[in-house]
Amino acid sequence: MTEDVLRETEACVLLTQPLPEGLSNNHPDRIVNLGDWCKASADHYLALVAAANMIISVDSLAMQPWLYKYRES
Amino acid sequence: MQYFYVKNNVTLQLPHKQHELLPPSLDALATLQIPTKNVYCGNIVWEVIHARETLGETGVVTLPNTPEIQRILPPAITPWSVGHDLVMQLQNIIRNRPIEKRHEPIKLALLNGVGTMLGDTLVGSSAVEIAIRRVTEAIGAVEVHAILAWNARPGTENIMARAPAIAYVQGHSITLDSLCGYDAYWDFSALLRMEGYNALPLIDFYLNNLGIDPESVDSAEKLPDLRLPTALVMEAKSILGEMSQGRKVVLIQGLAYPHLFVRCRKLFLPK
Repeated sequence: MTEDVLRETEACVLLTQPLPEGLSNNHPDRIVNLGDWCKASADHYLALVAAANMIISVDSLAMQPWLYKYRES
Repeated sequence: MQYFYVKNNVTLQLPHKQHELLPPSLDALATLQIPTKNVYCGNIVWEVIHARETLGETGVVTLPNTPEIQRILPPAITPWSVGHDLVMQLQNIIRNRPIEKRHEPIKLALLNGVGTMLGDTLVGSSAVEIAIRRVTEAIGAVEVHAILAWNARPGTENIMARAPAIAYVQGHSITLDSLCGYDAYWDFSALLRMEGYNALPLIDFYLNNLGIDPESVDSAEKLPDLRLPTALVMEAKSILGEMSQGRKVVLIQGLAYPHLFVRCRKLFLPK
């Protein structure tokens, strides 16, 4: 289903971790890894969470497509 | 809840923090009573592991959770599902205080924060906000201190510090004598083993374990707060804007775990 959503919406896919071994990025125009930017701090990573249109989590209950209330601090 | 002490001074270090552990006095240990000073408690697993790397196996002593220790601790707040509502639990504590202390703000410790991970902390800290709003409306000001585990992920400290309900954040375990200075405490030390962790929606899990009936909270209020520096979010939006050129941006987490990328694998196969 995740895959269908990505194909149908033609969304850009944002990754924060390297792809698993054996997989390659065959859609460089759509799939971007911002892991290096995220490494600066947890806040950088969370800023991406806040700025993305949708979050798909494959490993965590906590970060499934929640709609976060973003507040300035 | 677990307890330990070290036999000699040791400084624990992680890239983003350090902390010196001190041993209890020999006199205190010689009394055969449980010393409270410099006995550390909460989610202490990684402090014990790191201290043993320097002091050896015998240089770090863990203590079982005995009734003797339980007797000296302040009351633990129980989940809503097995006890009373948080407000009622705190009202009982106020009633049992000495008369001269009844008007002082209640002081509460949050052991292990609301977990060691960013996602748990985002959702859990939002639940703490809801809980403390209720308490403040019912009984007045309370002071909440978050005591994070040594292995709490970098960034959890910031998330907790930005939560208006949290007055103080500590990045390592608390000593028994410090814990005894609180009126009550929540214990999230064994988060994954707590009732409902993998069964309830995460926000409901936290509300219940904080002493709040999850059904009594409006669903809009349950959305987690994400508090971040504005400049950083603007920077992220700018990067994503250039990248997406008007298309939606989907962030995928956890893809690096081999057993989890199956759901997305076709995306990475040749066209």
